[in-house]
Amino acid sequence: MELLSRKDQFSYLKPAVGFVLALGALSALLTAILGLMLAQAGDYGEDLLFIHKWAGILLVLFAFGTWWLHFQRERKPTLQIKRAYLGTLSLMMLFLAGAGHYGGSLTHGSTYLTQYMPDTMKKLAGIPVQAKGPKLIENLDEAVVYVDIIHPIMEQRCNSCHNSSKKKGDLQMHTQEVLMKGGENGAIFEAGSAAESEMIRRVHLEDNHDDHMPPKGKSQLTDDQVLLLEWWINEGASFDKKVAELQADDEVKTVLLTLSDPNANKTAVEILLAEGTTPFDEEKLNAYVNEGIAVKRLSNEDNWLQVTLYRKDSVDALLGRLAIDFPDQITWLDVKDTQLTDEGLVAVGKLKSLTRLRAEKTTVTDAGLTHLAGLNFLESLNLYGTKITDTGLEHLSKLPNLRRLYAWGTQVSKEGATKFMEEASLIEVNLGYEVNMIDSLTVEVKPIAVSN
Amino acid sequence: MSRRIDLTNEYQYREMQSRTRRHFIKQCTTGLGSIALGGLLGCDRNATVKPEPDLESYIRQQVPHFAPSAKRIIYLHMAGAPSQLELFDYKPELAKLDGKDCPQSLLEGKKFAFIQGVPKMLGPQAAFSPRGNSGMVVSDNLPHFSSVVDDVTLIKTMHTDQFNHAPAQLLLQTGSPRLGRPSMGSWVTYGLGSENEDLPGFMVLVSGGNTPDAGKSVWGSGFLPSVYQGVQCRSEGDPVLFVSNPSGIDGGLRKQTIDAINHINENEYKEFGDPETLTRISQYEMAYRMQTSVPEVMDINDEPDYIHEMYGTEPGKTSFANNCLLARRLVEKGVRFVQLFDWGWDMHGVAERESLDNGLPIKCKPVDKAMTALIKDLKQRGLLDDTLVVWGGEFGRTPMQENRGGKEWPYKGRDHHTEAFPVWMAGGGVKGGFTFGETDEIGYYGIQDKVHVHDLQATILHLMGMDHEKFTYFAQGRDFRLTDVSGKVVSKIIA
Repeated sequence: MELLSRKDQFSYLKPAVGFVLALGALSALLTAILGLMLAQAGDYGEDLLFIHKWAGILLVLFAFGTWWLHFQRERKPTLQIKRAYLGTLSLMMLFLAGAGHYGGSLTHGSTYLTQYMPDTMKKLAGIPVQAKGPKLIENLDEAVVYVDIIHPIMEQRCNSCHNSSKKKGDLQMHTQEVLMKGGENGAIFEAGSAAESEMIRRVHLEDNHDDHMPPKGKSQLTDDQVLLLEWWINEGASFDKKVAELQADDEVKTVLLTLSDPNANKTAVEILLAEGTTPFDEEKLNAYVNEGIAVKRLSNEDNWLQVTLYRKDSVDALLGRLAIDFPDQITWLDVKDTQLTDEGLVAVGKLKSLTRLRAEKTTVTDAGLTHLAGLNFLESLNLYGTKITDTGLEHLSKLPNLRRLYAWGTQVSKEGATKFMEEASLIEVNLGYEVNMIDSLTVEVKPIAVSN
Repeated sequence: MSRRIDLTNEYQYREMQSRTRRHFIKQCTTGLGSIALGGLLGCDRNATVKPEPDLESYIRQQVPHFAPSAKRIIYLHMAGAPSQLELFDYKPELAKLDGKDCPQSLLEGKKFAFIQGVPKMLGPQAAFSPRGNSGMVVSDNLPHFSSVVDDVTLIKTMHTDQFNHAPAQLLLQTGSPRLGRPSMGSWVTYGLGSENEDLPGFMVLVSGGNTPDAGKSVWGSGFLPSVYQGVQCRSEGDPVLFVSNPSGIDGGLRKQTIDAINHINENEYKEFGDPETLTRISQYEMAYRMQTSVPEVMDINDEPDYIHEMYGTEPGKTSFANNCLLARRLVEKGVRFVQLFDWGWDMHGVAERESLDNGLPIKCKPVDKAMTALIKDLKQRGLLDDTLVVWGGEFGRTPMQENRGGKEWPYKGRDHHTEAFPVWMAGGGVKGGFTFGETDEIGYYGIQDKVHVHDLQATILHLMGMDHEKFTYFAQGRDFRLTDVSGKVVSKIIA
């Protein structure tokens, strides 16, 4: 502001300079006092704190000095005073930058400046670039639980406040020794019992609770991470045992799998939908909407489309057009209770990413189902109330991701469905229910379909 | 030209001179009054709400934040709050304490609706056993439901802030115990729109002989445009009141009338830009289309006999069973949110009808049968995959026997209880055969995986593809959410 106000066009700022300096000096003093009080608690690393403390104290002194000199200069503008003023002003700015930077390092960890720098900038600045996301474990059984699983979790969620330079609650978590030592309230975990471990107790407290960890506003542990921490403690909190040496129940095993392959527990359909698809032509979509055709995005964060057609629409022709315009984007298609015929299914067969098809209560027959043979991601197929028979099922047995087939109210027989489910063991066929009235308040409703 | 301006000025000047204080005060009666009225009616809303020029296409084109697992919801609200201790939460320890005085630790600092002094503990008034492949423990009061437990997630540790029916129902359905917020169904239809142009996106069916204690506000639209409020349908008489033509008026004349009214309203909107005018236009148009669509969907006579047997429905009557069947018919037609209220679960034990050992089993029978039929019927139609069914009351009931007026009652009943109550969900992307949360030995507190009402709302919105923290509406000077300022998605129940 001082420099700016020397230029004519900003000269109107001049009267404010003195006031701003005074305000700055007073708030610096207040901040320094509060800072010294916090430092008394002794939760911070000595070296960083030393620099921050003295930079702060000098900042306060120079701030008052600058203000005083500014005042003197206004009264008696000699060359000496002018020079001294500029000198103290620059020194004050220097200490301001220094105290600020080390303060940041204390609060956010010493890498706070460069941690979130884009990779290209990091390269320019000569800082090593790390791979994005958590490091995947190659050989899960051989991985050391603490080193490869637990430590990275703490590194990610705990160590920004519990490290070599900052020890909130007198607790450090960055090495085995200090982790064992615990904090001001003693040990933070009880090997063999997660339920009695202070660390786990605090994780489970309500978010608003003062003792909840990580504190409100910091990124929280995921459910999977909590599960792994509990598992490690329950299994004795060993620092050198490998995954294969510890007992793990199914829930833990499922989570462990994701450490070597994030998609481990996902179906092919879930992976496809999460990967997304190529963008479509917005103008074409709008053209359909203006025609009154219900073509809609599945969500705002991807390019998948869902289509619902009604009895009023000329379905077969529309499907032909849609298959040309959005062959890779349509993933949910609802043509229930429409004029759909086997002809329309030719176009449906071209929607390679189709995962859900509702074609119930239409005149579709076995012949039409041949066109669906290439739908590798079809997961749910609703054909209840159509004209399909046991023969039609044969065309579906090769669909690799089909899980649910609704064939209630069709010619599909109980025997046909049983045979089909034996061949394609992952598919559940629903043939509806048998209803048996017992009395006015009791009724027996048993599924017709067989279980596999 | 300039002469004319002079003349006008001259005229105004003269007129002002001749106007007296008496004139001013006389005109105040209408002038100032109408300004005040304008403010009261909320005409200044234009400043805060952005007008949506074509409300209907706007409603149809709404898209969720992320890919949803549920496309529609049927919410079965058991108004009055059923007792978890006779239905879903088996507490053998409580049976041992039956008839003993309640320990002080459970009473200190607590508010109860009716319990006074030191009540007696009351053991479970029903037998329980594990059901299905999952072994979910359910009482003998729900024999039909026991056959679908493998499609259900049961949350045993719901808790709420309100111990009286009306505020608790409001908290559950609108996110706030006080009046004025939009209901869950309004939020969902506001966010996702409708899938059927001929039916409202949010429909309400009431059974049990009474509307819920909180009144129609539990399906109100609050500060959202009123086009999103729930439309109540009846299964007896006219399905929607005042939709059918008066005698002597035919469809053609009705259409002409509505067209004329809408023409006037369109001009009104062009002049004032109040979005409520658009709501009015689309409501008139919707009402006209509903004249044919509603009687069609509400007429259950065309259902086959075995469906009637399955649900226990009787056409032409008002019952929970009829409403369950109607709910299925409505979601089949693409209605986004169907809200059922069934009254009569408030088992205080002050009459035989309200007792846990006699009244509750009688109340349960038809409801058990109908809600089970609903799940099975949705399943065989392939609708359960993307339809979320939610069942629950507004709070739970105490492990203590109610002693209203400080005396012992001949019937067994329980008082209102906020700390632990069950809600179950089926379909729409939740786990099957899964019990979530643990309560203590007597079912008083949740001790693990507690779920607040706001958490439930966050989870329901999540299943519909909405992020409850981003899903806001600007009203009265700030952004509002269904979950107010809290709520956490219960990700463990999601399949």
